[in-house]
Amino acid sequence: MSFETPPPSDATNEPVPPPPPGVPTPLPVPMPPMTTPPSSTPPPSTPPPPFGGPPGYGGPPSFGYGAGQPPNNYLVWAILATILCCLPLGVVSIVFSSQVNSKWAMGDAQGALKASNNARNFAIASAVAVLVIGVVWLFFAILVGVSGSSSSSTTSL
Amino acid sequence: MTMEITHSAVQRVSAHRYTGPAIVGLGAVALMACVAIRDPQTEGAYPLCMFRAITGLDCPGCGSLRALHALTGGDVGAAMDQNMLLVAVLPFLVWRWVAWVRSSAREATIRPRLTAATWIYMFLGLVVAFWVVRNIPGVPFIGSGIG
Repeated sequence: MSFETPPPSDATNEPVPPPPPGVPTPLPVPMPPMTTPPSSTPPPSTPPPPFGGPPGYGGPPSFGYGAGQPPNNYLVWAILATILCCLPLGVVSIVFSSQVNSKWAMGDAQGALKASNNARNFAIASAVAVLVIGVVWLFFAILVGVSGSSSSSTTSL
Repeated sequence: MTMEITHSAVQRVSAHRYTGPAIVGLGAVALMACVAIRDPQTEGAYPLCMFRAITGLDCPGCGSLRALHALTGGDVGAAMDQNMLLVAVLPFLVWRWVAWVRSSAREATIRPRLTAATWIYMFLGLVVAFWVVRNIPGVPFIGSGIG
């Protein structure tokens, strides 16, 4: 149950091996003869690399498997919802938080993000359900005045 | 992007970096204090679990308040009798909270390195098995300790 396990190695991030010694490195392409004065030609603008930017919040990684940061799986909140909230919504939250990890590991960034949102929403729903139940219970407890005296229930939570 | 913007952003983060861990920590302390003072064993002290109210069965969280009450008195055995899952999971929750505080102190986000999903599926299986077994009559110690 550790978060510290490194992610599976990413093939696209492996360093490019140096060329073997026997293979000659390709020579730089010779400059074509200038037809225009150099001052008038702007240097070819290279587009910025698509990676290296800050991770966008609320969006999947911009490209490929292993890029960007994996979405939060909210496992701690799912466990808290399971233990402290009486509805089985917390178990559903755990299901989605495991899907975050499995889908991310399979390279499905979109699905991982969707599962992340579901895990969070089910944990929130569980907490809201308990809050609503607590408020309603408090209302009736005050109304009837049963606080600790005449309830038929013997178990709490 | 200028250095000034980055610097002010860091300062703004550092002013509130302990807010989340503080809220959760204070909430946990408040819950423990509430459960310690107001004994869940007394009838009607807390609302009944809705799953239990509807089905009459234990859910994985049933007995957690009584387990926390037992823990505030230092009685780990009684806490395990009420809800073994809570006692088993508590060290993990405390560990994650401490990691959260430490990453806040370093002003770094917790590096979201994901563990293998198999571990979470195994934990899920454990929860479901716990849920089933604790509702089998006659199995000692696994149930919520009542009824």
